Amino acid sequence: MISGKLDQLGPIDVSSIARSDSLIAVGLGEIKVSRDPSAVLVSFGLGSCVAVCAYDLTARVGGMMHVVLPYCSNKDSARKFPGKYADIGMPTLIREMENHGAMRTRIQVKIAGGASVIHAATFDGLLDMGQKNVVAVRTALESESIPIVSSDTGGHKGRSVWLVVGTGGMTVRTASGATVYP
Amino acid sequence: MDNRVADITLNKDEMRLWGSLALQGIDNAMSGLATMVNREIRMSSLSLKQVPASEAPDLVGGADKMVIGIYLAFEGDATGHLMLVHQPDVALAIIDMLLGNEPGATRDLNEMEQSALGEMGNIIGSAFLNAIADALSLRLQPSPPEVILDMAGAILDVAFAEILQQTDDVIVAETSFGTSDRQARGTFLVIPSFNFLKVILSNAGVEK
Repeated sequence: MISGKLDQLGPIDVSSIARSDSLIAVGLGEIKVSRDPSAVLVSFGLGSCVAVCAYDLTARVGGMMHVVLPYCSNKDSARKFPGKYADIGMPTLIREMENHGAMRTRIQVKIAGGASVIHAATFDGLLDMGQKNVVAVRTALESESIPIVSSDTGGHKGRSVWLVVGTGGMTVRTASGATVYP
Repeated sequence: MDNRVADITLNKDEMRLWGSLALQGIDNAMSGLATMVNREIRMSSLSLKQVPASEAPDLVGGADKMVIGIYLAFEGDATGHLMLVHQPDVALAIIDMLLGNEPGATRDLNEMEQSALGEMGNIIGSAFLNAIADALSLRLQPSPPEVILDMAGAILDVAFAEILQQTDDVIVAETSFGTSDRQARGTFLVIPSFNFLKVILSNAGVEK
């Protein structure tokens, strides 16, 4: 998957991003939006979860959603964690971005995550949760007619994902290295 | 639908029950380890908590910290799974014990260390689950344990994917243990699946 690329790029130093003064952590099921171009949104340690990184370069608005599950099964939980479910989280993310001055037609998206950390075929429904999340995120974006510019999904390794609001650059780090999606 | 969120919340009696089972499980796991290393291993603490899922990675150092996970699925009278998570420091200390090294000698996880770790995971995981199955006279057939080295958040996602369909909290047991001359300090989390907790409580006579 990304290992070939890693060899070409060599080790990437993420410390400049990771030490940014305006680091905004996006936890399980959260949606965070910022209009500070120097802000960096980050989701740490994604396994089957998916980080949806959305940005409008003209308005310089960026948002991140930390998706845990594909479809909403619990409305109460969704009120508390609007980004928990891919299907109902996506419209919320876009609305939040619009509220911060983004224009729907200019929004672009990068996604990362959706790994299956467990290899053993013991639990059908759970094992492909990563894959299910990725499919649900793609479907939700399609129905909003928002394009996916880059994606770094699947595999068996956990990821941390950073989005630089001002540039729309996404950095993905795994245990073995990092990849930048400018 | 509305009461599902509260479903997993354990009252005092249920927490005490899960605590006593977790204690038996960990005890059994420690005897298994003791047999493996041919030394006495004592548990120095056990605490039970119900925490928001988003805070659970902090118990093992943070979502992006490398940790070691042991994942066990089971079937039989019930299906479910169990996740044991601990910090690499703890694992390295245990490997020192397992391989008879000086404390602090193991610093990396190479092939031999990983294999020792897999063996340890095997023993801890199946001993833990078997103790609980025995205590409740349940037939639970554990899968071969899977040992994973990855970021805490990524490993915990495996357990969360099931639990968070029902609730936003997870039940964890935290413990530390060691031999008489050294302690494997650090956190050792045990996270039962939603199904597992339900099975345990109903088989112990607590209706859920």
